[in-house]
Amino acid sequence: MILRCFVFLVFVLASFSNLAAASNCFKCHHKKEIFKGKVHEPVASGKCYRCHLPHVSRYKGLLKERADRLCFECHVRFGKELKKAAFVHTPVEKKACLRCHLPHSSTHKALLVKDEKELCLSCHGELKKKMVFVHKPFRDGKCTVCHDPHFSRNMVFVKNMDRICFKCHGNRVKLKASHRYGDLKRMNCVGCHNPHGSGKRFLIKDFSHKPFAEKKCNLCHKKGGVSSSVCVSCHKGVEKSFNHLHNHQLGRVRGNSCLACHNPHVGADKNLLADIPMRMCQSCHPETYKQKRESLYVHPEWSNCINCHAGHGSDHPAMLKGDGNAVCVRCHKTQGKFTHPVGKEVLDPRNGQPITCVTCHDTMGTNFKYNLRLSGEAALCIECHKNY
Amino acid sequence: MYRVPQKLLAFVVLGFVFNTLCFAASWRLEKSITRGADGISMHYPLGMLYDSGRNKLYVVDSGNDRLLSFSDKWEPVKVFNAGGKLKLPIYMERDPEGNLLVVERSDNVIKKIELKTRRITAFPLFRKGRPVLIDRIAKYSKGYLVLDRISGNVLVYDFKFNYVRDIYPNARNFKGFFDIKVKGNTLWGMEVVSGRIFAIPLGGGSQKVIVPQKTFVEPVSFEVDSSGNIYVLDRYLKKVLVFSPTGAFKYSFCREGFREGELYYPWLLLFVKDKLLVLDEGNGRVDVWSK
Repeated sequence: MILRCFVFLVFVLASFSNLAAASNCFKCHHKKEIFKGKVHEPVASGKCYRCHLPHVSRYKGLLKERADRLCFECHVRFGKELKKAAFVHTPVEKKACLRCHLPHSSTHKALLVKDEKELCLSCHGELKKKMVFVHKPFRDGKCTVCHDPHFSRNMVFVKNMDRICFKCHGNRVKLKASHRYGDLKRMNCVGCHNPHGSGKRFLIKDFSHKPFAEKKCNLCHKKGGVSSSVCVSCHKGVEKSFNHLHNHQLGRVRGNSCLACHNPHVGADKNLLADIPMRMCQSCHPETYKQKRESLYVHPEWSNCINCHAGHGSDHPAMLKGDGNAVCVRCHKTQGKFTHPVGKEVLDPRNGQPITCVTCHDTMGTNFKYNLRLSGEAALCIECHKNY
Repeated sequence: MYRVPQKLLAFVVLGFVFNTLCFAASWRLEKSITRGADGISMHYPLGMLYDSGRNKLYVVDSGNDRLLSFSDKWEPVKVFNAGGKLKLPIYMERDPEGNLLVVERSDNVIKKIELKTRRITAFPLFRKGRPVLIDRIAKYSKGYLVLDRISGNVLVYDFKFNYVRDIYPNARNFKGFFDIKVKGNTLWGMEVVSGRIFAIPLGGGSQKVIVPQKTFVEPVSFEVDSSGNIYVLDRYLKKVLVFSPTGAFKYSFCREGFREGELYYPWLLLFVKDKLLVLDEGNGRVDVWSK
């Protein structure tokens, strides 16, 4: 009984001390300005000290710690799950919680800084384009109906990729009627439909394979077989584009190796690529994402793989569109004229190979400024200039 | 209370590290072959062949459109470019008469080069009416085994390049071979991406599958030593990973870099007697490792 009374007393005193401390804070920091809409739990319960110091701090806003560390002090489970996640949304990866959330209160759900759609589109500006037919959740600005904004098992941060569409489009009879030849269980909805919007009805992707558009299904399907020979029987010139030292003819990958990258019916671009290059390439090259995630510096065009890499074949390692110089100077024009000596006449003393841009730079991601392979202060230079 | 488990853990970890280092350290770099007899460095080499009859190593110097030969002491012997008629050679073999068979990627043909008569004949290959994307060629007792990059199958041709049949393992979800070796009367093949190793007897009999107990990123080549250990070369990891005959991971060696013994864009493994040759396209050389 005495113990119970003691515990009760401690709780009462603690609550009073919180409120007393908070009431001190709110003498200057007016509640009206801080309490807007939904209030963050520590703020509501007057635990200002959970995040702030009252007198001095080395962090802005008199924070006790760096903002990102503070959040994870309470959101421990979230932090643990984040560590296990295969794909992490960039702001979360950078622990920039305040990029999307307000720390005290917000009139938007989940303490968001803005309306959900407005917030997402502030980075994903490519989705702002006008579309004739728009998917309802996207139109309504409910991005999180389909996406998990923090982390996911897939690179598009879709919740439960295999079933998400069927949550709303669950009428199997209706689906079967419009997909007569497909197996609903194995169907990849976003292969043909754009989940945000499209210029075509039923959100079918904008560009169609000619035989599909003309409903000449038998042109391909009657030929049977699973190899790429079905494709090259029409796309004759394409065969030679693989006649390079390295190419993307990879045996029976997905039966017909063309279908590893191309959609035979519809696509988001005229090449009928199955997805945007970054996601499509990563489905086979996930290590590139890992490298990016572990790097401080990556090339700004990192996500547009086919800017630098050839899709079919190349005579250069990593299937670059040219040698380590040619591919870079297409954009870095001044570097082509004025730089560290490069080219066939300038040989790397370590291996006798011509020095190129990629001798010193790794555009896929490094921890050194300018995507250098080692620190530009000295470590990189003394690799070759021993007596420097 | 926690001392014993900690000691045990430390013992296990140290034992593992020691074991790994001992195994890895047992391979030492004997030599780096970097240039041909003319003193010109290799550029993007992609093929190797050891002719045990002549005791010569041949390297296909793809970037320079030429073939290089080396003695069994790894000294450069000759440089050969067929009078400038080689374009993007990627692999080579010798026919029973000793003529050179060079896989040329630019025209997708096998070029037979008769050294005595200086005659060159090109053979495009077909399989069931469709062209074959020729990648590797290996001679065996009844003809040639050709790796077709399109189907991922090994195709059997007779010595006159008439198509005979396909060879592929009886395995679920087989995605095609990426590298092949012929050892005696057995075809060894490594599956693309997964790195599964298949041993298929050419004279008939049951196939063997070895699943290496490690996830690869970009396995591009493999070798099998006399004890049946499997060596897999991962182009992305820049490592040679060694597995027991059952597929259990033993150790790995090599690392990324530009110096001798380091790998940049490695491409091919080849055992010559008890030495392991690692062909590195990016560094333009062949590293010879011995125990």
